[in-house]
Amino acid sequence: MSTASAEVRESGTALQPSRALPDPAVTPPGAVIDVPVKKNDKRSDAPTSPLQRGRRKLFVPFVGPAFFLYAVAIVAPTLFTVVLSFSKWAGSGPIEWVGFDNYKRLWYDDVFASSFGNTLLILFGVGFGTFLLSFFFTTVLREMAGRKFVRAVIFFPNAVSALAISILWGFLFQADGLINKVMGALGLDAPPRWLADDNLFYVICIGLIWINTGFYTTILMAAVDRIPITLYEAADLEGANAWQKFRHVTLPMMWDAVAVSATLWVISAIKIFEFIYVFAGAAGSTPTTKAWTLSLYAYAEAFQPTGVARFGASAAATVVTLVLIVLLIVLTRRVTRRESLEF
Amino acid sequence: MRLRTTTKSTALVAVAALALTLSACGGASSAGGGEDSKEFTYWSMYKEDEPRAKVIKDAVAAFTKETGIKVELVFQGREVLNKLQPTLVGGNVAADLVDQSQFKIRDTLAATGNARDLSGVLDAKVTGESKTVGETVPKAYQDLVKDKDGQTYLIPTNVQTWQVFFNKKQLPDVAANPPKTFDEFIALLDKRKAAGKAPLALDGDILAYVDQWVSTLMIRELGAGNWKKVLEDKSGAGFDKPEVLKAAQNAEKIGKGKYFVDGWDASKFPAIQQKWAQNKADFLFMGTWGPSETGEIAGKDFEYGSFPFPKTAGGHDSEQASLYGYGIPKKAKNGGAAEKFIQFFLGKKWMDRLATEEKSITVRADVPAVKELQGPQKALQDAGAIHVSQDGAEGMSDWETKITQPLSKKLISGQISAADYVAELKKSTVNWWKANG
Repeated sequence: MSTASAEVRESGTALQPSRALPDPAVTPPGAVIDVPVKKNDKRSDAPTSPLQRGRRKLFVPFVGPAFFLYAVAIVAPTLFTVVLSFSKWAGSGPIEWVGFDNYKRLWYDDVFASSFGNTLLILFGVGFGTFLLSFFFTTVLREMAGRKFVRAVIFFPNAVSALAISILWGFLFQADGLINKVMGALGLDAPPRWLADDNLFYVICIGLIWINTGFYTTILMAAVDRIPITLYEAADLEGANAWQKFRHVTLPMMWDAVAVSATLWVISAIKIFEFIYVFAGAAGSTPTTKAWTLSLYAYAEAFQPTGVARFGASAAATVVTLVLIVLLIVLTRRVTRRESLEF
Repeated sequence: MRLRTTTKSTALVAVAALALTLSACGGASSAGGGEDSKEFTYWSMYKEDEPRAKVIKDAVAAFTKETGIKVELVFQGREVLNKLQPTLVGGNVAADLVDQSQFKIRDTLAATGNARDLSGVLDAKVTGESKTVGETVPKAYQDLVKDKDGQTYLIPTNVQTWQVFFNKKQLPDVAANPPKTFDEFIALLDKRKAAGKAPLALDGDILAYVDQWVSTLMIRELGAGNWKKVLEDKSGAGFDKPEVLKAAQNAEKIGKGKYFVDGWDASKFPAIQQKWAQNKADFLFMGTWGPSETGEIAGKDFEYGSFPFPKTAGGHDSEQASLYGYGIPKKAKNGGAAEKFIQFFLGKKWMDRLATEEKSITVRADVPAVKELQGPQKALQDAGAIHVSQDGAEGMSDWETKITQPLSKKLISGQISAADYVAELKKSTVNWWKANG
């Protein structure tokens, strides 16, 4: 999940509704709070104590450098991408302004539509599978002996480079691969052709669930570990079964972690790239378009195997992806918004 | 008010940052000549552990010794031009000399107006020899590497072509008498299939390899240069030519014949060409890099033989050439020194080493290729015409990945008929031109 952090910050700040008063829940103790000031109330604008005055003086020196870096490294390139999406540009040479042509092309491009569909399939389908498994492991592992070891094992796929995993998966699933050999030994005459164009994307989905489950299980487990054992003892005394304990104790108590995980998932799901690129594509060539997602689409537009690079078209696809991420995060935050429980 | 000044200054910072980023993309442009430079920077597409890298290193050392020109040599790997591209924007281009495929140099340098015209190199003598570069590089190749304005953007050093490869020891009859026509070829495939063999190998996950079958059949039927015309005709009328359907029907024969070895469309490259090298399939239609890629698996008992893709009823016999060589960015500060290195490297000594150590077919007719590639070298020399990949249709790269390659795969795997293929290709290509024309 190395890719998520920057965008988390980005979307977090972008989406923070401008509140009249800062949310105490998100403001760390001791933070300087800028309270909006009514125009006619001159006095409340003046710092009330020397300490506060000093703090205010430090606001710019402390925030400035970070803000500058953020603006240069993230905001400016993002704006540049938006500008670029209205152009035709090969990465060098003259820039030609083409208005909404790049977006129009996306609209008419069947491959863009299928890439969009695949992205949604990963987002919801793989997301559903991943979280279902993560909840399952969380519930089971909570009471299991040797849980730390098991947790490490589940986390393992996430720690290994996606490149290594995708190469390994290629060997496992190809026509003469290990999986089909085992199936053949078990007496299956016609084992599935996993890597055929029509099946490839589903194998990718399974791989993504396998890779991501460990990560989210780890986050959720950390939250579950903090739940006081007494609550479970009380539930036991009242005769709750495993599902009831999950539904009425575990889930509400770890809700914050679930909300964070959901947000992280939305961002990373839309950006998933290298696993598909290496697993489905051979020797540096672009994979079959049936396995493309939005991020692969954007990449393939810019860096074509032959032909002049099309940064404008790529930028347009990226902007659409960005809008999708923003919309979905707003949605995720709304859906997962609950009062956090203090315990 | 405190709050407002903060907002204002942050806005200023943001604007300044944006301006900074954008201005970096404008940059000054000054065409560098550098005729008398005593140094230049050379970015290579090869990696340090490749056989070619060793030849280049030795050539660079010898060049410096002879001319006193220092060379800063960097092995960037295949992404070399993607790395160079950002530096083409400003005034400081990072390399004075690059080597890559013809298409990469065309698309990154020539198409964006960033290529230095190398016509002068053609007129200059190969270092230490009596002939000029232009007399050494075949005319057919020189014609392929000119841009629309007639400027030469590439000096080729070596060439790759496509042939049907097989193991001479397994198929001595074919070695003695290779199929000359497509019908003979199909008959041979049928015979091998009837004998319980898998006639063909193809790594189906590399869609360009799959499409190579179809585009070759098209060019065989239409003749070099005419497939390009069909593709670039925005009305799609060219697809109605009977030759197009005929070529598609030939491809359909391959598809419906089920000649490919088991697993060809559900494996990861290079699994299937390795199967071929283990004699589990008879023929591999492949670029001339095939023997070096499969050599380790094939072992000593495998004797490479090959023949050109057979002629079809159309009777055209052009061969495909993928050229590799040198380009110089227009803004290169030391372009003159870089040109001298090109003249030096085309010398017989270095071309000999490319042929033996890298096993490449060089552009020099007086440098014989290694044994397994002498057939392809001769085919290129004897060919009635030379064409390039996809018959040189330009600016249609995403059409290739999104439209023709998936369709070719359907045709070659026998999922659709020739008529459906032509109709679908016509419809999609016309639509593609509407969005991209």
